[in-house]
Amino acid sequence: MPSNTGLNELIIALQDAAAAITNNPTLDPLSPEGQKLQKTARDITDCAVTIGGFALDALQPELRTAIENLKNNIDAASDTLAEIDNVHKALSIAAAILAVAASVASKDPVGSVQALESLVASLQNITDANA
Amino acid sequence: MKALHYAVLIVGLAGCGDLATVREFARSGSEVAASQPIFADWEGGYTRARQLAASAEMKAADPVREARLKAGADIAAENGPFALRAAQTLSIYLRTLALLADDKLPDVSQEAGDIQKSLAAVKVGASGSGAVNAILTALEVPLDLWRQRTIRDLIVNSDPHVQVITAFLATAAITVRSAKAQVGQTFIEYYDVSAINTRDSGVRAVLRRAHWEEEARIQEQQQKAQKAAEAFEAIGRDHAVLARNAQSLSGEAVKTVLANDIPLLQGALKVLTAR
Repeated sequence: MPSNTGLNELIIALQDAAAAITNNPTLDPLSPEGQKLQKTARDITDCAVTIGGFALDALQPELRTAIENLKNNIDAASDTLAEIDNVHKALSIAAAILAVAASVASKDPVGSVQALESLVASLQNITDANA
Repeated sequence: MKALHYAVLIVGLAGCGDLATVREFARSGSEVAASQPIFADWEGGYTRARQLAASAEMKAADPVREARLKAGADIAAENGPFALRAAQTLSIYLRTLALLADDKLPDVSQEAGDIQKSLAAVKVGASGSGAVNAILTALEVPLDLWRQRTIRDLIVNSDPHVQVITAFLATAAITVRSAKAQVGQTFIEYYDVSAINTRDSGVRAVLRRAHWEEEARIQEQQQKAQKAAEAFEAIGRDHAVLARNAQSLSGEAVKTVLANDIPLLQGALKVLTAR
């Protein structure tokens, strides 16, 4: 597993040190001492940025692969979500068709039930195959 | 026999339900990953600072400043687009995870109820409607098992990639934190150099105030970057917990860890989206 925790902590510590040096309201920042501290803070910050750049360079090759692989996993999961949704849609359509049959007092209620049984059984086969 | 088979499955499923915590974690994480103004502005922040550093007064005060800013801008140019792409992919992944963790997804009771009413209306006998309803009710079980297996596979298979992406994004956010200071300190240096070079006390006072205002701006921008880094670290850490506990995603171990970090993610989102 990649972990930059140590480097991240170093960058944060450097940056906090730079901030502590400059954020001193009692010292006139325009005085020679103030300017010297400002320069030190800038040098420390430059180091922090450089270290961050190195850390990111080290992770970049792995990152490209990880993004591609994660995208593939998302696509596969999205397909499953769509299939589950299709089962719902098929059931909703079946319910709607039967509701129409009921409203017109179909002369063939047994036929409707058989057709519905067949649809539900085929949906069940899809889900059984994937469960 | 078939009824017994489904009864066993239903009992098994009783321990798999209630993925509300996983869903909440995934939703919050997806929103955090989608809200990344810190990466969008990473390289652009250097443009004005480099112009200032190129002025004669600034070059005289610090001859290496321009070159250092260029190095920082190069890091931003190289990694900014990657960070945006990684954050976007992570956001889509977590949104997909949240959708799969929706406990209501395989609920077909509404359809079953509607069909039963219609069957009654067409005066189908109890045996006919009963057969269809039994199948419909049983259908929920494999449907939910399908979903549960998909979510487990997705988490386990994706965890190594999520770890790489969150590690990169956390480091990128921390580097942005320093980049914001690098840019801000250049503005401060410009104000200071200008103040030292003027004899006008009024202008000096204005420049001094600009110095302190820039300090405050740096702190605010750094807080955003810091929150983003903490959020990405939390997403990686929590996702590893999900992968380790993929067989019991609704268990107490998962709930406790996620419940601790969800407020952190929501707090980070507030800071990141604040203007």
